[in-house]
Amino acid sequence: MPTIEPLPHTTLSQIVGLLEALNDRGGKDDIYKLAKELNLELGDLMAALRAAETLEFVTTPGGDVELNDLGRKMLKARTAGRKKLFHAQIQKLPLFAQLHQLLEQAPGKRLDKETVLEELSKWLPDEDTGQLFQTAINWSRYAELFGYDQDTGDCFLPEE
Amino acid sequence: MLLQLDKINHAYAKPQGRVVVLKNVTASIDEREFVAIVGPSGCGKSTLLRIIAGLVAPTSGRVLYKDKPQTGVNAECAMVFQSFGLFPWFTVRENVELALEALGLPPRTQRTRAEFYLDRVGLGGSEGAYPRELSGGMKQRAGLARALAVEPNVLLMDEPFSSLDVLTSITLREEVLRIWEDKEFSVHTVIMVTHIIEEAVELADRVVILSPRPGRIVDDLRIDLPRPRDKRQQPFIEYVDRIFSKLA
Amino acid sequence: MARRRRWRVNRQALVYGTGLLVILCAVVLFYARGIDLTRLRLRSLRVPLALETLPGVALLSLGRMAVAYLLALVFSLTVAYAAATNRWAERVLMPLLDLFQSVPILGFFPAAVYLFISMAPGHRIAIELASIFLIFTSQVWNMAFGVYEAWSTLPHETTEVAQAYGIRGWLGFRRVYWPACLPRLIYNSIASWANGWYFLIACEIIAIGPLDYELPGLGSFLVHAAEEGRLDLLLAGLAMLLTIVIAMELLLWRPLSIWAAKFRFEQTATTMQRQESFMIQWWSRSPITRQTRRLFRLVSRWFVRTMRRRSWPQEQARLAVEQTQRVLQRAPQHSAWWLLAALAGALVVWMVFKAAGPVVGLFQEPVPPEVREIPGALGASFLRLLVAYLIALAWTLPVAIWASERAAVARIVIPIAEIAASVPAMALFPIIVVVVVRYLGDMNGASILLLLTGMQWYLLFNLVAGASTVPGELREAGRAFRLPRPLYWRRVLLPAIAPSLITGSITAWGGGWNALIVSEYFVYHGHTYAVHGIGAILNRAIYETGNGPLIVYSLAAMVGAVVILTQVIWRRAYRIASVRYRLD
Repeated sequence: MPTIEPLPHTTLSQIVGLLEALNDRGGKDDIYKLAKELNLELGDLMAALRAAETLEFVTTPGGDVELNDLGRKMLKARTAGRKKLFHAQIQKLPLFAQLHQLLEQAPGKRLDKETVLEELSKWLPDEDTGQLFQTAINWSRYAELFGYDQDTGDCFLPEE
Repeated sequence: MLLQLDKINHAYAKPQGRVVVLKNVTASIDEREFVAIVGPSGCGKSTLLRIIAGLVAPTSGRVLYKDKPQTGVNAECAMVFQSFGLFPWFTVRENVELALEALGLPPRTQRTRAEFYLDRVGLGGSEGAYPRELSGGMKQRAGLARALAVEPNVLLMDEPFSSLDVLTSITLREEVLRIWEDKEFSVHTVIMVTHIIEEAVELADRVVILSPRPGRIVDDLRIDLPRPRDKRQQPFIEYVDRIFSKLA
Repeated sequence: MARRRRWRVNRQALVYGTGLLVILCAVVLFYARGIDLTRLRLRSLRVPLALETLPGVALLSLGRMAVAYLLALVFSLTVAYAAATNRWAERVLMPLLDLFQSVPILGFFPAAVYLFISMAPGHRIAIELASIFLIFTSQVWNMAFGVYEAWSTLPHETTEVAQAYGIRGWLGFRRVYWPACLPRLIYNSIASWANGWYFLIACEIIAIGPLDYELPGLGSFLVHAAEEGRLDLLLAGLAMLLTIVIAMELLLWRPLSIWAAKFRFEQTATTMQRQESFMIQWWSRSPITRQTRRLFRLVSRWFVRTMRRRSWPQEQARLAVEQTQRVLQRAPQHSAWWLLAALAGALVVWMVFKAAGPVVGLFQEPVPPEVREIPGALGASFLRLLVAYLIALAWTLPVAIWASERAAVARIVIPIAEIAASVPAMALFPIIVVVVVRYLGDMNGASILLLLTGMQWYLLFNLVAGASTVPGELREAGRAFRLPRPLYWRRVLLPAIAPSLITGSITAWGGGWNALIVSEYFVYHGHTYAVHGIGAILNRAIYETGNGPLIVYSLAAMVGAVVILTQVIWRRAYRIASVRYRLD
């Protein structure tokens, strides 16, 4: 099983915002300088940065961050296109692949939150599973990978 | 001329006395214009937006919409709020459907329209989420979807990005611009209140500058730059400086 | 400037004063000539005291409570909605609500009974109505205030959004106002039911002057058991009551509170602990309820559709009216209000006119000798109330703070308080009095104890609600800076609790004045237990001698004292607290 990495605590809007900011600056910038120009704490920028890197939208040569082709494609795409790209990329992440498999095998393709949290804490015992769950759900909702119903507390795979 | 502000004055009474927030504001706004209203805090720009929307009746003066004096809430305007304005006990979709229900639409139409617009702003897949589960960016997208779903003529935005973090507001600004440029959406006229000058120059065709309280129109600039606008280029910076100097 | 402020204050005082005037006139009109209830042909409905009758009478009491509660619910929603949406209605209704909340209702029981019974003399339904009305008055003020507070503290943006998107009228109520008030409504309903149970006895036994009349019910059952010394039946009755209260808590209030949590306006909470309730599980999973919910949804959708069709043109018309009147901002929203105000004014004038005669007659008569005792009695009662209040405060404040800090404690404390508050202490009064007097030798102590039972629960409920509103950040800040306990209490906690403390105290004192009437004078097994107090005077005057003028003087004195204290002390304190200690 490939190593499951925790997700940086960031939203899609922040990731795309980072790509936009880079694009405004010609596609490449020094990380520290970027943080200063945007008036961001380095820590906040790093979360979005790590996420963008994991999703293969940027590369980080040296102390810089550079927009790559996929990232540019993401920016040019419209809402539907962005979703498709994001969907394709997060499926490559072991965490989402595992969750997807879990849901596929579950009865009725539904799993309650507690079970998912348990699994998460098994894979990543040192992480804050609550926050991890929230981030994962937010990403998968956007990508329409899977959904979460707060009333029943179930995660589910959307019908095709 | 879609909207006309005719000698708008507004004041309200406080225990200490009468406070004048807007003085003699006269302007006109055409269809397909993206207008930004900027000014220091307290200059009455949010109040002006609410007067345009018909939420507040001006102490004197009038608003003319399509050449007719406006009495009461303008049903052809839709507003996006700074703190999102979502009801916490409804899901995002139910929040949008509520606005459609108020229009008298049947439930099935409510649902399809809500889902359509939520999808368009990128919330497809999150319709069943409650506001407390969502980030600021997504909540504002929901607010935007709601405003678009009633298919208004004019979109009013009250400091729509000031409750969002830097990166998220970059994304949303670009999305608002896209929506405005998209021929498919019904809204072609946007009036946005903001205190961030770069934002006004990036998005708007026209910037109306208000003075500190009591708010008077100090200037009304046309921004003649093609979009998308490069913030690092000289013309952009010049506009920003011009507006800054008018505010000082 | 300053002149305008004084005028605004005067308007409130005007309404309050008018209400007070009406009440005093009512007092005079009803009591001045002495109560003569023998004219009403009443039959005594005494039910034999036996264990088999217990379930039946309990059900009857439950029925009365339920009807009164529903009436109180409708009344509260209507009044609060009017006050929260219309500024003029607010200025009239809120002072009146305040006034009625502080006036001791028990003093007016005979008058209310007289009213109902004279409408349908001899019929049982009249007495049932009187009883239900009395329960209603013990439940309604608390709920009305709670709902009003929920609606008047709605975030500004919420009302703006509703206005901007045309979400008004029935739709607005259904989707915005109703959800917004639910958490508060449910919490206050629990307290109201407890208070209703507390006064149940007084509402089911109406013994005035020569009459001894009662309704079959749990309250009368308990009293008779106590009077006849049948401890076994007394305990059985109490057990029945506790069973009902606990059942309601588990089957109704608890699931409702948990469900209502989703209507709160908290911005945080992505990981809300889902409290378990088997009721909620059953409700959401069981097929029966699913069908009932489907049915309910269909019916309500049909209802809404017909309402909407009918109300749409009306909405337009009302919109037009609203818009034209928006220009005249100073004038009230609707001309109907002027008409209403004129009618009310006429009514007030008529009442004063009618009361003038008896008042004059009252002054012409020789003043009953007991009237000289009134000021002293009032003072003594006040002292007793003060002592009871301080004792109540001494234990409720720490408990409330403790409960607000540990959720586990709150989960135990509130249900226990609910149950304890529901116990109709009046049933136990005779026993308590006898016991206390035997061991302490003084009726004063017993009286204070009895007052305590009427005062402490409302105080506790309000304090718990207030303490739980201290924002988490403030609490954490206190902990982070390692503030020493007393300093933390003084600088952070107490100011945050201050408004609830004052509201709770107002309600508690209201309950205290009410309890005064029944806790200062007893006849039990031929023995008379009494203290020197205004309650004793009133009790004797109303229930024994029927001495009209005395009732008027003492009731007027009591009402006057309550009103003065409320306005002078509590309202001022509230104003100071809300200005100085606002949490923003």
